[in-house]
Amino acid sequence: MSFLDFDFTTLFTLSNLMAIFLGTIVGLIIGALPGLGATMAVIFLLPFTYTMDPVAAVLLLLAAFQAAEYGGSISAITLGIPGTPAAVATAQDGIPLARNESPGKALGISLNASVIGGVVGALCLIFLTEPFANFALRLSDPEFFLLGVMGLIAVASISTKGEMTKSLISVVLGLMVGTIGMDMFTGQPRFIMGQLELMEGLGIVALLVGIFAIPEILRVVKDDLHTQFASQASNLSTKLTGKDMKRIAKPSGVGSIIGTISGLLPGLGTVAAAWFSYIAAKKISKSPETFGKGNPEGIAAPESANNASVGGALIPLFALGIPGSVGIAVVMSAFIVHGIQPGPRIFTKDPTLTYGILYGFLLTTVALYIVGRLLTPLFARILVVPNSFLMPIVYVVAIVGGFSATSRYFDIWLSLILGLISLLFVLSRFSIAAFVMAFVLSPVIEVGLRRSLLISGGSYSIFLTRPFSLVFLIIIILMLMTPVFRKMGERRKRNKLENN
Amino acid sequence: MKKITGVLMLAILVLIISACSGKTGDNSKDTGSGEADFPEKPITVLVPYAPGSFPDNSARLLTQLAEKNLPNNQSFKIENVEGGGGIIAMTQLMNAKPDGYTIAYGSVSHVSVLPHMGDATFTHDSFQPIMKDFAPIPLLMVRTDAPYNNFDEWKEYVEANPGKFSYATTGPGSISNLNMVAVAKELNLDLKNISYEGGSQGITALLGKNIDGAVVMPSDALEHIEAGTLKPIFEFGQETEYEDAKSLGDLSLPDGVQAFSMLFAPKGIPEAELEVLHDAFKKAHESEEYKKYTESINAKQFYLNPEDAQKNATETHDLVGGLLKDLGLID
Amino acid sequence: MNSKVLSLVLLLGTGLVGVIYYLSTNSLKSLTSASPGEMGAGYFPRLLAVILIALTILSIIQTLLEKESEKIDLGNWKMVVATIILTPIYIFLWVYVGYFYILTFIFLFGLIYLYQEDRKSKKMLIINVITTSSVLVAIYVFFGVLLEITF
Repeated sequence: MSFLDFDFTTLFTLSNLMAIFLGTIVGLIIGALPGLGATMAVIFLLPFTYTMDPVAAVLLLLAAFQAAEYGGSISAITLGIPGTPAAVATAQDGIPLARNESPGKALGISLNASVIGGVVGALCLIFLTEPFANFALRLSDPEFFLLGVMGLIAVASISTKGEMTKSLISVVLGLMVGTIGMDMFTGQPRFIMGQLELMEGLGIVALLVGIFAIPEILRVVKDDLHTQFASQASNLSTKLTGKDMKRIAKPSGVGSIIGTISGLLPGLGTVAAAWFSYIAAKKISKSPETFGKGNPEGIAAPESANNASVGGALIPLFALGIPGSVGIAVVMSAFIVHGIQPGPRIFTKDPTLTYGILYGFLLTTVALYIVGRLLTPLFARILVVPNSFLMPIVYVVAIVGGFSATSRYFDIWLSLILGLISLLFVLSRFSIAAFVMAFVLSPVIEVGLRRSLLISGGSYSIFLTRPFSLVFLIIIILMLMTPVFRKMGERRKRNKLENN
Repeated sequence: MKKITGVLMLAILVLIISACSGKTGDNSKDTGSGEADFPEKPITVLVPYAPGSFPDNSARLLTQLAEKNLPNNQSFKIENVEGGGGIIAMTQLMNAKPDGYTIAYGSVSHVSVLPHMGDATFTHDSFQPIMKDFAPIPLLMVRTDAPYNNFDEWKEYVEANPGKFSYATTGPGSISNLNMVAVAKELNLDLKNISYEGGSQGITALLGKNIDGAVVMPSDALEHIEAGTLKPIFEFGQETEYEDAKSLGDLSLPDGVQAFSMLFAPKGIPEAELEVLHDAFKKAHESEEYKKYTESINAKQFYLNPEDAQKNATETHDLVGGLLKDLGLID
Repeated sequence: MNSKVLSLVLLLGTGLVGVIYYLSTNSLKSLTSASPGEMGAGYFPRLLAVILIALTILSIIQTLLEKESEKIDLGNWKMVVATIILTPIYIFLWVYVGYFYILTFIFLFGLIYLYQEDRKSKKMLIINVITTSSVLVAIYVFFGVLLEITF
């Protein structure tokens, strides 16, 4: 059976549609909660799927996954608190656009871009599984290491505003915090300070609540307690004009492609996808100077990328039976509980079910659009609430949500301590975005480097002899040289002007 | 919402029971009037793994099935306690009241590996085993396009190229690693261990031709065996069904480190309570549904009663201790 | 407080972190069975520590050379301090005493009350009670019932 012979009536059953819509709603809400992201959304929903039929069970999780990736941008744009690491990139332009122009428009761009990304990811999953999976197999530790380094350069180049040294310090601190936990190669715990809770590393939810939610809430309490973010309901409409749609088409397309490819690669996933596409969108934009000041393209690119990465991450799962991230591993466990083994033979062994899930995944993007259009204005509306009410509520919900991820009191204390420390660092203009990116990439970089050298027997030539590795190395060199070239170009221009 | 799901689950449960066990009838709850007072409330099952992980799924299914055999219509409540590779959950179990209301779904690592590493305050006999559950048997996988076609050819290749053959495990001291190290030592082979985050990451690297082999659990390997891209050349059990593979038994090597799961109660739990729990889990373990599940994950059932389970844990503990010393992980 | 002082204090902190982090790599062992090419558990961390200390020194010099030092706007610092003091008390009571829903009600109500400009207004109190109650109901329904989290 090929993908065209699929009997669509088996997909459009009440239980499947209900699973998709329910998953979307819950995913959207969990994604919008500060700190909790797509992984937590699927973990929370997993127990419900045990009693459902297989297609509905998997679609419930995929819908939640898809919606949570968009939901993360809601708190980033409305409250200035990125809900997921990927939404940190969205916040760069999302916050200024929401504060200076219209929160509704910023959310509308995010929603439309997310849906575009989701559709592209789903189409790649349905039609291009095999070539993408083969491509993914050709990338390994040397490439991951270099991509990780590229990610650091990308975020360091964006988040500096005259504070380069401080941004670099943030990067190194993030890498250091990322090394906390058990060292995979020797089995020894590192830097856990006697806390067994740190053996598996610092929890990402506790970290996000600590370094984004708490400092931002305290900052608003300090500066803007007696105001509110939005005064009229008129600029909360998420409707976009045709002009806006046209403007975000190109960055969304670029973001979708980068997102799908990044999704293929374990560890890099959504975070790197968001930043790489942000940089790419800036490079191809007609007005790169407005990036970071509320440019819609700066929202569209990372948002389309993080949703496209969901489809990308599912490709190795379907083609090879390999889950690329924790979230996808949870989705895979739903397959297995229902007796479906994802892998190369899934298309021939269980075609009706497989194509049901694939087309159902495409449907989740439709559900995301509908539910997003209905629910997003409600989220935007919370900005009308005075800050003296809103901030305590967000504070309590962030603490409670952070706790719910692991049910460990340790994590609440951790969030609180991190929150107070990062408040001081924010006041001193260190880059929190660089810190988070480095934290996420730290294991990718260290493990990639150590494993590459282990495989090569200690020889660095492994980075030069592999074709993709070489390409990435050249890109890194070009990225590092760009500022030098730009300075040289400026000087030449100036010289010319002076000569004339 | 909770009510609705509760009612739905109940309805499904009733349906399953009426469909599957029509002949035996549902009389298990009336028997054992001697311990009628235990349990009086739900029993907490500590699961030292993340929700949705592989052992978590097994624990949930087993407790769901065992629930039907509990007196007084009581139930099990799963509590995922992550952290410290299971140390936090098992310490919690050790300090829990031995009244049968707190038990844990642990594994080989908790009673035979962690006690050697210095961070845990418990050891192999700090708990009362309730029952040994199942264990998947690890496989050494290679690509089908490799220059060797079966175990003997592979052994020749490795002997001719010492230190060249690289294989994936989930890190030094992991079950996959210890098994391979033990065999390599017995056969005097020089191999290169490469650590990966999990079995599927190792499989990816093997498929991508970055390494030469991978020691993985069968659930990670089966799809690729059937697709014809990878094949097992060694099975770390007493026998093997694979044509080109050899097993520990074929080479008359001693037993390896089994990746078993085991149910534990705190030490000092009264006999009666232990028996109720053991019977409930044993029945669940032997049910058709659970057998089908262990088959689907390619694991083998290794039921042992509390006494034998303790013996098994102690033996494994000593075996692992020797291997860890050889690796230089402990002094 | 001005930005220069804060920067210097934080940089001393990062420098200290770098030193402690470096020293704690000494306790890491390398395996006797390690293959050639294995860097060991300490190499990458030591590299990071050295880079951090170097960057910290650079940044301290840059900060000292800065001529201007702007004052950090403290705004409603009293509210920030109050929040920072109340939060650990709330978490401590939650962890060691329990009664999560009652405690959270009091904490949330207290924060909203504290943040008001006009604390005597009856209308505000009523709105506060309604808001706090509905947030708690929402927490109970979403986290407690739907996601089955025991606080």
